[in-house]
Amino acid sequence: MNKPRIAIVGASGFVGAALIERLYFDDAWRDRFEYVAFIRGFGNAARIARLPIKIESLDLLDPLRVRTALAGFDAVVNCTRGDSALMLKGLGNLIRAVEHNGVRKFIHLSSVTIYGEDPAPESAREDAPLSTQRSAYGDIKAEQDDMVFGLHRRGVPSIILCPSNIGGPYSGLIIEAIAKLLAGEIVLVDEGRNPTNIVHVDNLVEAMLVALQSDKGWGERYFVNEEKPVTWKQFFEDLAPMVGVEPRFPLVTREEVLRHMQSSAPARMGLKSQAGALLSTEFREGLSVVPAFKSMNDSAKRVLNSLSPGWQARIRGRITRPIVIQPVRNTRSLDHKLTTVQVRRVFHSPEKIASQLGYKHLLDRSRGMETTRRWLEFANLIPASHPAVEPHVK
Amino acid sequence: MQSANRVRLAFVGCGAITRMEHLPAALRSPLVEVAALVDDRVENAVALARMYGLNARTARNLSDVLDDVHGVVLATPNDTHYPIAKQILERGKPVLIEKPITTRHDHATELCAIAEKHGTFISVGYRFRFFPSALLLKKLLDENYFGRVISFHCEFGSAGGWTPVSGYNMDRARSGGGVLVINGTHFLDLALFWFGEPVAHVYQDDNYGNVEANCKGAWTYDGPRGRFDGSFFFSKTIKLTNRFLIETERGQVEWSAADAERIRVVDRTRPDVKFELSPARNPGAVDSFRAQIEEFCANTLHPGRISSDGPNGARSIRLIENMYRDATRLDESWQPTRV
Repeated sequence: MNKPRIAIVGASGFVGAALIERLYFDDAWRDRFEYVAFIRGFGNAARIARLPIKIESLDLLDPLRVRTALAGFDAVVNCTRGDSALMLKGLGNLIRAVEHNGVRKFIHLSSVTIYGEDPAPESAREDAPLSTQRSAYGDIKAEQDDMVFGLHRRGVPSIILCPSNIGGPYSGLIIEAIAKLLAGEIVLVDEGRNPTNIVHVDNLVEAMLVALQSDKGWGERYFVNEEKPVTWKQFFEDLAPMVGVEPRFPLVTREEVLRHMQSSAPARMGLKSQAGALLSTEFREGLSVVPAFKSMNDSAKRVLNSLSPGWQARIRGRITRPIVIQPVRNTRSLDHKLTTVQVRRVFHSPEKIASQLGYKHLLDRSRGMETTRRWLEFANLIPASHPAVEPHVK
Repeated sequence: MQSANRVRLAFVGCGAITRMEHLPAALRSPLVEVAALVDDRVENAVALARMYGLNARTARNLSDVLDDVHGVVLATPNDTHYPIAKQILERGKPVLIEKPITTRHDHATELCAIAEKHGTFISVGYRFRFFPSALLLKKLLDENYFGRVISFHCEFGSAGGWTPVSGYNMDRARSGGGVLVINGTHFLDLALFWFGEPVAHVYQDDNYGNVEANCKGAWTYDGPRGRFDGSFFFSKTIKLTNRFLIETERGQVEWSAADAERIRVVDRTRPDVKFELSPARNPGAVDSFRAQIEEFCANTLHPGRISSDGPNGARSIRLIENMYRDATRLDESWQPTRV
């Protein structure tokens, strides 16, 4: 019998690469599927390029290429991340190619950010209404979910997996946490009582494999999280000894952080300010190394200079912005993600995926932390607890 | 513009490194005339000429332009270095080969022999050798300024990074290897420059049948500087500090790829202070690609010293070959199936 053919799109990213490694290294899964790793570019593919697997370059913004590439696949797993064009237009092309080629399963990764940055208590469960107070990223992820549910309604069974923060080896959040611990910049919000919602990447991969194998649960969104809540205090106390720092952190209140987030929220850039940025001296000088732009820039300058001084002043006045210098705060920063993320009080329960799809975590908390510690040691991000390789004379 | 003082160069391979580094460096130099751009996908050459507003000839085949140039900058996928460089050298023309010189040591030595036979030369693109900080460190080590070398550790890594147009870096047959050949070779070359050839090595990587993303290992030295060990870590998946830390009798010496001018020293007697050393004479703006291409041009006109010549490139690829031969697997004990 032929093995199911799986297209893993976005395979060189953090989650995609972990899925590829699991399929390659785990004997239980190695021969279960025939899979192709689709990647956007060659620059970031080293983690999977070391394996003797099939890797293909795929630009999701090229609809014809996507349609051709997906011919003959039974399932598609979408791990793509990128800018809004890639995430929306690219997903649109992917979905059309899935329908065109008669793909029978579609697994998509969403994010709990669709429930807002300060989610309501009812968003502990998937059927809670989505927040209208979302980040730009949350807006895109919500729109993606609509597109995927649309695909499902049109007859292609689809599952949306919805993790929050993702931990484990290669996790950007873990790397940042280590750096901030070393820099002494960690603060605990509300004494670190709130849940981290950090799912280990290998548990997320487990959920993806469960979804791929499932004959039920299609057309649903599932949270993927650790079985029980882990507080931020516990999380930082686990990491602190690894880097050799005392687990004592300054405390701030949730209200302080929320106030700070509101006061420092970036205003959306209007058309005028975008034009101003585009026409700024720095931007033009940067681009002027490109001959074609230099010629355009010179023409524009000639046109501007040919106008009367009054008109020149009026145009300059319309497109230039005052330079704003932000005061340097002497207080501890409340800006970074590891602080702002702590305001979330809701634990996004994985109960639904466990009860409906039979998902069980692959790694419990202590084994998850152990894999993280081992990788951090390997990556020289924390001191090694065992001697490095020693050369020998032949 | 043509000038008797300018060296007419052909650039073979119009991918990322030529577009972003070699060609801009040549255009910054008053010594170079960009005479031709060559790529087997000639549209890449045409696009590059248009991008920089050049009147250079564009061609699919090097043979169409070779007679019309003084020398060649070769920046094609690694496996093509040998046949193309051979063609150039057999016509008595010098070639600046983007590192590594070739993917095989026997090919590298053959190229060196051809260059000698035809009275020309090879330069290999190890641009860190043009950093004033690298030259200063070599000088101070040679003068025993730091006393005995006790050990060193070097690491060079980024999470992702360089994206060759052809994607040859994903294919071992074309690249000759993974991170060791693509990135690590720069630091390996510096280690050869500063410490000479190791007498022994240990090498581990994470290659399971294609190109390694990570490698670690160690070298043992037993030469004029005495006996000491150095360890290395090169990565295409992890951002590393990109530096050498050298433990010496005098203290810890730091050379960083991010600082072309200075080396830093923590003296054993003053561990609370970090000193910076730089050449007394200000070298001006450091432009290593330009310095490299200008050295190549200068040698084309009047043979002299080459920072990294063919034999040096051959030594480097021999060490790489030996390490690959003796490779064992890195222990990925964090894989979920191994916990």
